[in-house]
Amino acid sequence: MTRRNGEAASPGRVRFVAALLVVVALWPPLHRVAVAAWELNPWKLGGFAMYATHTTSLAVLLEPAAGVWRPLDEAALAPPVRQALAEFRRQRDALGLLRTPRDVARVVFENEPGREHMLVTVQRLHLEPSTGRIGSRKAQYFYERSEF
Amino acid sequence: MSGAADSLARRWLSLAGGDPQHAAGARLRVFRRFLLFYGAVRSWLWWAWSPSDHGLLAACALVMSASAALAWSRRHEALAPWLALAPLLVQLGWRFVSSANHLYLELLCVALLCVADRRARPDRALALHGLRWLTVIVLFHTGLQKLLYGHYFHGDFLAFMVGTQDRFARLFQLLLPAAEVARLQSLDPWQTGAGPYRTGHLPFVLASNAVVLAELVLPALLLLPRTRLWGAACAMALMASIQLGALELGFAFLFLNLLLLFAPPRWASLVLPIFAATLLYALGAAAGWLPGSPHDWNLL
Repeated sequence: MTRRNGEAASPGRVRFVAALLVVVALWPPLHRVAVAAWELNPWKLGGFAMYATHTTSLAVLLEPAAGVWRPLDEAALAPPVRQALAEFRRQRDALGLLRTPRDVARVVFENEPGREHMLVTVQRLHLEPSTGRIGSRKAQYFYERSEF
Repeated sequence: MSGAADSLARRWLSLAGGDPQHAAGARLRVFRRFLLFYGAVRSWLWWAWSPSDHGLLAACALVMSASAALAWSRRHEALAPWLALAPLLVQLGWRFVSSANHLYLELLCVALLCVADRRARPDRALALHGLRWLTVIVLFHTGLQKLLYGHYFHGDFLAFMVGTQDRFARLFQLLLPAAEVARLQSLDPWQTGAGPYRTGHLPFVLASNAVVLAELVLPALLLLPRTRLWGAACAMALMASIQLGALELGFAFLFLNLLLLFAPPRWASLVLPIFAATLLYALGAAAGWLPGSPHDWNLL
């Protein structure tokens, strides 16, 4: 398509640019709402909230032992479990509550035939705007072999 | 989109114009050369540092390099961003959800450059206006997000960074007494209830609020033709000073070059070799041929 200089830009291109910019303009406020609703990572997913706040997530696998839950020894986990856990941590860090550890539990049960129950706890540390102190929220996921 | 909406979109986009139509091509040429060269270097660093998928990442880096080379051919330069689209989408998909925001920004810039037709000046002006609006919107949102999260009124976020990162501590010891820096550094950021990451020292709190205010006000200065140069100069100074604390060269390089689209055209040509040399240095250091640890520069 050749157009002479001095004419207006093609309508299709104008629409494309306008639509792209409208999306870029609208996404960050929606991203802020999604962060509040699902604890997404403010630094990720194109919300441009880098250096606006601090959050970090800690995910731990737990097993029942003598009536209490204690952390699994990660060094002793089978390689597929370690891989699934690493991928879960990476995705959970960005997606917050939208990413559950169900697939990690499945891999654990597949690799550890003797295990009947497990608990995954995810602690999210953040800076409290009202106090300037570190606050935390905890999410727990209980799984048993019969679910899979 | 109806005719009225079309006309409204044209008027809206042209608010970021104001300079002669023939100047758009020259501006875009320098920006395109920077952007695609940056993308090629970033892609090779990604390939070098990745623990897996080296074949895929090498293919992406090769295509990005071909695209960067094409940007230096006046005959084929308009095709260069089209070539970069596919590897960029692959890279974004490969690290999706964990991708840094400047990768999205890079993709948006490349998409807008695809709009520029070598043969049609109006399309080049449209691409330039789109890139300028992108700069204005992103700068405004970085300020708005800081406002919405509410950690800058009392300086909490910067106090947290002083307490947890040496680079921020070194920078802000100019505004904070040594005892206060030591207090912030003694707090355990992994301990619930630790804090307060808050300080009553006025110069520090003012600096914290000034960052937000600048990010909210400078976009308006960039849009008004009379204040555009000052807006661009102030925004570049802000971006450079932020780098003294947050070493985020990927975002900073991209954004400085976007801001240069508002400055006199010569500026971008003058500083292009500096950006190129720094990126080449990062490649050399990543290969172990030069001193330094570009891993810490956040180029990816």
